[in-house]
Amino acid sequence: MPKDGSTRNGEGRDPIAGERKKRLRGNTADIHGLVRGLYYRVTLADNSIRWIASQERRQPGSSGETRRLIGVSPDVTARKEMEKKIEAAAREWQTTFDSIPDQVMILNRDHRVVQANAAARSFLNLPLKKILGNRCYTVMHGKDRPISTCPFPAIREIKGHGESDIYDDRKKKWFHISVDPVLDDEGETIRVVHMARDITESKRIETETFCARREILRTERLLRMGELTASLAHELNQPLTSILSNARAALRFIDSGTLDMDELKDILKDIANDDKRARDIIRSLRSMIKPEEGEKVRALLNDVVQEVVSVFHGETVIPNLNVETVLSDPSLEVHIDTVQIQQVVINLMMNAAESMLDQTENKKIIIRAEAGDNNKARVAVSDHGPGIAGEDLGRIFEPLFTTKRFGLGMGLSLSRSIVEAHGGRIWAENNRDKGTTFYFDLPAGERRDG
Amino acid sequence: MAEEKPTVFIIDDDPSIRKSLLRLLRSFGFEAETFDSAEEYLERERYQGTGCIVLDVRMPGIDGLALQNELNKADYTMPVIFVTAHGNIPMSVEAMKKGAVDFLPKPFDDNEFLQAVNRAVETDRTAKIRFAGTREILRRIQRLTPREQEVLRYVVSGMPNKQIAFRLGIAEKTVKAHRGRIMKKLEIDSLPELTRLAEKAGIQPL
Repeated sequence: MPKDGSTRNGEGRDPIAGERKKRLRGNTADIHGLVRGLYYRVTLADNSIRWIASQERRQPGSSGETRRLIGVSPDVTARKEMEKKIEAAAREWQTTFDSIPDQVMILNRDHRVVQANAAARSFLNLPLKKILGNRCYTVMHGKDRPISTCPFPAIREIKGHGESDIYDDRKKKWFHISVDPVLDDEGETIRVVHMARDITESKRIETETFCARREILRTERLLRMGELTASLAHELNQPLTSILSNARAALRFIDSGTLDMDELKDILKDIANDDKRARDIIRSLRSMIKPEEGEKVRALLNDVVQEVVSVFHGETVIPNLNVETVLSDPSLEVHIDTVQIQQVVINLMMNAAESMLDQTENKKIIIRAEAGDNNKARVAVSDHGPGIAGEDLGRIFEPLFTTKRFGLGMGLSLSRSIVEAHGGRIWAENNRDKGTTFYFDLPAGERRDG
Repeated sequence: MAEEKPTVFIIDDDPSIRKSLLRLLRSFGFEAETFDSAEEYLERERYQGTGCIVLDVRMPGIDGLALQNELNKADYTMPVIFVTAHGNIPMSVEAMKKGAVDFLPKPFDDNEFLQAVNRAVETDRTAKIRFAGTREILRRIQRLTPREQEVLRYVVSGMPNKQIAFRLGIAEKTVKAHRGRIMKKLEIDSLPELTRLAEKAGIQPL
């Protein structure tokens, strides 16, 4: 920048002498010698500051000499302020973006990362350069295609909010993923804001709480079983004592030659009666292992199902298990012992997971909360396992019947007791394509939105 | 005492148990009576002969252990065989401490039961004989005058006549006379016999 320019054009006219001035397009003026510009501020009499962008144009004469100078000095205060605002907004946005503790990435329709905040960069441990332009599933999960539990593909079509919990087996961490589309004027998705929050700790606590509660229930049940066994032993010992005593007495009467035929007849009748008594005790066993009467509360079926799904770790049974939840709209109200019904749902989900133990792919559970026939609330748990043989289908709910290698035959029979105690029904059907679906219906109350 | 058949008293709230045990005891050669509760047994007139009680631990109303307490308090002791369909160790320990001779978990076989009943009856017989002997001695001691009973206590303490006379402020000759009448009334001849008898009667040396 030539000093003379500023001296000649600047200081003489500048009411703010000594203040720093900015040149506007000074270089252009240098090259062509046609335009000079000055960008400066003036303080007016009322102490307000205005920004001026002065330009002068030299009109050369035929021999190149300056024939005329034309100058304009527009007031550009408004534009200057707008620029400042835009700059400030951009800084503000970047700071905000980087200060979000969740990992935020902005993706284009093609899953490519166009922005990543500080949390995302530090989580990925990569400079921005290495992140931008790559596909999110590559940088996030190290995969060459979107992972099946990712909510992104779905929302690209529905153009609304989507979220899900994802377990990252590379980092051994749980993430809550939420995705929101950025739409253009035509309503087309041009960007997707992808947020990931590390929820490993809260998952762990949630799971521990849930497990602790289940453990308490299991202990209680075992204690009850212990009491039951003791009382069963007592009940059975009574007729057994009588039978044995009667039989021994008869033998002794025979040995001593003092047996009376009428007495023998009476003894045998007594033995038969005590035997029947023992049989009745055993028959009543099934009704004795009914679930205890818990406290029933009004609950929304969607909430009940969602809570189970959020704590259900099928990965502990089989890796790469995919759980899809389909909730009813509106949610259905049920009057239930929540803990017991959740036990049923967990049991069905565990069975579903175990049925696919030997599969290498398509390990998927679909759990649905939906309206059943006749004002019933229905839960359906489908697997993609091998299905259940037709002759077994009718027997799986019987106590002590199992098709599992290490099964006890208690889970489904207890589930049936629980559902029936709620005035409901449980059954299973093989799917048309592959696997089995277990259903249970519960009486539904009024429907509620949300 | 007359040699009569020992009687076994069965107390159990389960009719089928009562009937079958009654039968089994008869096949062993015992007399037996059945009661459906502790209360019913307590109403029966006091049995003086030899026998034992077969008692169910868990019964409505007064249960087995409580009945055992009642009988001990009333000095109406008879060996008790506890039978139970759900016995545990603390329960059996408690019962044994209170004088139960056996604790049989149901179901038990005939020989086990027979042995237990035999043991109980034998215990009862010995106790009753011992008790009968003591009763006879007490009867004899009651023949003694208060003065003679006093002298008896000094004698069993091993005190010589002279000292006894001094203590009681009477003549030595009088003490000798008392001693002679004591031996006669108690139907014995020697000092060691006298000491043994006094011990059986529970007379403490001074």
